[in-house]
Amino acid sequence: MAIVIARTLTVYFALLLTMRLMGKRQLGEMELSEFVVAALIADLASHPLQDMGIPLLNGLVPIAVLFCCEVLIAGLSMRCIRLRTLFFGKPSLLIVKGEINQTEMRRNRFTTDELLQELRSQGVIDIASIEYAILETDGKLNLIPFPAERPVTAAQLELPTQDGGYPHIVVSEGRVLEANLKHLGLDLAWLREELKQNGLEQNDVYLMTADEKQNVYLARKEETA
Amino acid sequence: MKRELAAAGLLLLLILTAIWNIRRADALTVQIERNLTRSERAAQYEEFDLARSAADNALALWQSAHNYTSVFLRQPDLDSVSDSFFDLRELLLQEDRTALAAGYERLRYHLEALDWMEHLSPGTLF
Repeated sequence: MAIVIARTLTVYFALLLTMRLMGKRQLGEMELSEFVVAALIADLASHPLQDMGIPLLNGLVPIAVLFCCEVLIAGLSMRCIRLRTLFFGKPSLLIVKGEINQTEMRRNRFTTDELLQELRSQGVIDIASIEYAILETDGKLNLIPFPAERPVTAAQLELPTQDGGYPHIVVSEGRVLEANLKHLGLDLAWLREELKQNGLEQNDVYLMTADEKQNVYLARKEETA
Repeated sequence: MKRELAAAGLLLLLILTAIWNIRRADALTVQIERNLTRSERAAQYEEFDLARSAADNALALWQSAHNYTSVFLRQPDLDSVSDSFFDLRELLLQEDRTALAAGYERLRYHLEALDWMEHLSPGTLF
């Protein structure tokens, strides 16, 4: 029993460390090699936990080897374009200048139904409005509409914009995040004054954010029964 | 770059550990088999005290490697070797020459299989 718990904890922390070191990309958009690693690791780790006859090392060594391969391949791919193409492939243009590239569709085994489904899922009804459709190496389809179909920007309309920078959390569930306050060049005196103006105490705040221009967002804590 | 170097270092360390493991398994089985050969020869000449003593030495070697074997080798393989050892000791106490030959053969087979599984070959790979 104690061995099962100890083994599970060892594998859990080994997996956690491995996935953490592989980087955040592993969690979301997975390239082919990353998908292979993720699928293998999950299975490999479980065997020594289920069968006490298998040394724990037989589960940990493959995880370590896969981790090394993944880090080395990712590192080498960053430096060598040919290697990157070899391991991850290259993006495919499924629509070019508004026309479906049938050769690329066939090469990627992408059916017209799948293409239309992807377009619909991104809110596109009229295929003629798309200038480029790019099938990325992680399997995601990115769409670039014709210039006339693209959303209007403030710059195109020559409208003045105000940029207060990235809003940082300064109070979270009643706790002051002093590092964020300091990062914005603010202090506790400013915070107390701001709260006083809104008729609040620090403990009444559920969320408070501030940006570089001192624009503030405040959410009051709900009364709990 | 640091991460890649650390990964390359870890991979190298794992490969070196794998090589050490093969050598350790080789050395252990060779030492045990040497004692078993001595024991078998003594049993053939009906010097059963000497045969038991050599077999006990082989068993002591096997048991002293427990920390290594339990970490690096599979439990069912270890059980097979241990069972064959205890069967052989029983046969040595019975002093049954015909059954002893099979006992030595069985133990050798399990030891060799254990060692063979640690070696890299098409057979163990696939």
